[in-house]
Amino acid sequence: MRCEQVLPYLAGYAGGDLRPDTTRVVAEHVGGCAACRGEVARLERVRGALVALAAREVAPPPYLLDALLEQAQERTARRILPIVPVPPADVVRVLQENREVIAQAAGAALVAAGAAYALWRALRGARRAAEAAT
Amino acid sequence: MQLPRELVESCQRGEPGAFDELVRTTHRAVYSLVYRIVGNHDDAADCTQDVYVRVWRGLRGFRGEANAATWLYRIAANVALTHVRRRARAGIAVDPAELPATPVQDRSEEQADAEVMERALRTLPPQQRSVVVLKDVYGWSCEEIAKKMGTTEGAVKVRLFRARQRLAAALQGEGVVVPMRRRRKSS
Repeated sequence: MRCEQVLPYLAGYAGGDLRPDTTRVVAEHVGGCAACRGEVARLERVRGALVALAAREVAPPPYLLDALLEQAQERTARRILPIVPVPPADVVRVLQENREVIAQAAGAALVAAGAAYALWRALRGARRAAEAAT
Repeated sequence: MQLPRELVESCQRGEPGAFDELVRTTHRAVYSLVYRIVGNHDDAADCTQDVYVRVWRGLRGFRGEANAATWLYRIAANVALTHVRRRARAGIAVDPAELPATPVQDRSEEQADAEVMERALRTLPPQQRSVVVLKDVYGWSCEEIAKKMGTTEGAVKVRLFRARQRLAAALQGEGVVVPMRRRRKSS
């Protein structure tokens, strides 16, 4: 392969981001080409400098921390507290432990709903009968 | 960035001062990531405020499966990437003259590289800058970056490789990297 063909892949090769088959082809060329080895070394140094940036911090503007804390205090003062998540396992456990109570409550709710519906129908029937009579 | 999971859990329980502590502990690292993606201090400060609003709202969604610092970095990167997209749509360019030039003499090689690199990053197009910062500085995978940016992994790699080449050229321009030998054709 010629350098021109390999060149677009060197940045990926230097970062280990190529597919294995492409890596093999590029490595074969780089092994025998001093110019491309130089380019890979240059790109590796770029990558090293980028990786090193992770440990460095960019100084924020002096006002930023105060602004962030003020913003945070406004939220806590308004008591907009986040809802603490309940793990699904705990939900299942609570449901299982209180199965009978939940079943009784559901039954009672069902009976009450049925009674309310029957009452509503009876009242509606009576009202219609009264209207028809008049 | 160190962010103990216990501190996040204290915030979830609404313990007094816990969220302030989280902000104090992490704001410099969050600001650094956001600044490196958006490319200027004013926007980075606004985005950082937005990050902590989202962190507050997202506390209930944090269940500890992910590392707390990773979770916070993801929120920060999302905010920064959204900002970059909005600016691109609005056609607003970043002023490359904002960051003052830093003399690199009398410094260690690593320090000189890092300082030049911070400056060189700002000269990249925003999409290339976002990709190279997330991949090479913060160690995200191309797949994850593609997902966040709404593009393909191939497109991310193209941007990444171009960004690295441009950065290499920028470093060479600063005299930090020894220029390449003259290229010869080989078979």
